Amino acid sequence: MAADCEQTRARMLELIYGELPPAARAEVDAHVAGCAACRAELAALQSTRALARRSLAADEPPARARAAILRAATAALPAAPRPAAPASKPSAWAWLRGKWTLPTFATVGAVAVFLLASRIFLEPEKTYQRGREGLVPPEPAAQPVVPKAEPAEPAGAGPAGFAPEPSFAVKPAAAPARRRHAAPAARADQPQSEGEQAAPQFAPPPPAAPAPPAAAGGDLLERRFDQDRTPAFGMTEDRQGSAGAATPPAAASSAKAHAAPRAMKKAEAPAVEQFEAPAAAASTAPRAAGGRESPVARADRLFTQARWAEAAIAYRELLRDDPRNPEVPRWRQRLAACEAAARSPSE
Amino acid sequence: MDGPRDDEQLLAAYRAGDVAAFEALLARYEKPIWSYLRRFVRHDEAAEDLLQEVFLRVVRDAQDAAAPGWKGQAKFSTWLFTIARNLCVDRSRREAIRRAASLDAATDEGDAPVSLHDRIPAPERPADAVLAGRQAAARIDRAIAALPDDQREVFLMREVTELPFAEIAVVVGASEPTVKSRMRYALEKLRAALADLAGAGGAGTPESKGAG
Repeated sequence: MAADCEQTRARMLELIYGELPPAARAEVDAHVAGCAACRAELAALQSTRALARRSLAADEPPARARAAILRAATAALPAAPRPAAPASKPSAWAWLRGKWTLPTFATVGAVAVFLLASRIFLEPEKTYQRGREGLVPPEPAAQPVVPKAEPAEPAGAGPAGFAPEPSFAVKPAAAPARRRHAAPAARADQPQSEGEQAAPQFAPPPPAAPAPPAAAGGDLLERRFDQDRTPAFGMTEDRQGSAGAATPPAAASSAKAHAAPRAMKKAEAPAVEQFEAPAAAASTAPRAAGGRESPVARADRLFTQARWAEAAIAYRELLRDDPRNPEVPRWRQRLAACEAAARSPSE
Repeated sequence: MDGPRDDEQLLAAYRAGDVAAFEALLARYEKPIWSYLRRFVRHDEAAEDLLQEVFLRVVRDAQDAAAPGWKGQAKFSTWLFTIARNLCVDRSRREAIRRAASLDAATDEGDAPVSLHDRIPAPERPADAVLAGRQAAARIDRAIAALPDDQREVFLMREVTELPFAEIAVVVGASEPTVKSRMRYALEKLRAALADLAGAGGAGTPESKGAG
């Protein structure tokens, strides 16, 4: 009897709140029917609960709050006459694209010219064989071959006396000094310094010009993506004593943390933050197509928005669905961080 | 539209521009969220601010194209109460003074004079049933407000909305057994607060033992 009472009491909560599975419920019902003490206990809990519910049901939300919320809900719609919102989103994106486009196309353009120039100079025979007239005669030894990132040998002899490998002969004089950054520039220089007749036609100064920007642009892109790949949490120290949503100090993440909650001021967000956000999204969602947010990007965004419970759910699902993903350690860390953050408030 | 739409459908409709859908969501959840906020924060003015903030976040999440946000991986109600609860927690942190268990001051704005009723013995005549009811309500209001934060939030959440304990566990970031345990403690305390009133606790004795 006592054991039954104990078990019944332990299950009473689930019973009252309808979370007891049918078999257990049948047992409890059976016991309660024959046990006055448990019956009284159950009745007491139920009446307490009923009183509480009645009191809570009397809570009426203030009308002015409702009005304010509805106003905001209407105002937030794109069709609403709010000059800031519709203009800001497209313009932000257009501006972003502008930011991306310039270095991207400059890089692409420079690379294209570089490839073209290198192709011409590395494989002059082929180029000539395509029937270009008035060029340097196809003498391999005399070709203005260019260095290709190989250690420059300060060959003193002119190209004529120099029997280089077909594609990797070293250019004398200026090449070694400029080799590292501006191979295209060396290529550009070389024909000019050599004074080859054909050279000016195939090595216009432009390759030299875009090369530094290309290098710079390329570095910038790489640097940014490296930054995004580095997991930077800093969540725990950020959580100390911060009221409201904590924003991790990581550069890429903070961009989103700033950008997302302040939706209304999105257009005014600093350039760097807006610039970082799509890069971060791109790097963490490599296979997301058509602009839909990938589960990883979503989890990360929730995390940076300090939505711990949702982020925890998202990371748990990632871990469950893709246990062999190389990012698993990072997800585990973040999950632990979410759980810790969600637990900590009640102190 | 046949049949009531579920929360997720309403939010999707609002995201697509249907304000009426948002209004329907608001109608569903404004009262439970208000009750939760009001009873947890124990300060009506602050609760009103928080009420607006909760739903403004829903609006922002739905209308900010760059943050498509909550995609229905959790239930809408779980998400909504997570927002509400986090706001409460943040506010608690900022609060310098924790309200004491006896709260004659803040929460009784809408109530009749509570302390007066407290000293009136439980009526035995049917005509005074209303009075008895008010007395019990006052008692329970105070008892809820007096619960420790972790028990109060669980109790309120379970009572104002139909979130099962498993979901509440997600919202508050604790295990389900922990949540159930807190709920048990909460119910016990409330039951004890009503013990000497008619119709609550024990075997339901009609006589009262005076103010508790």
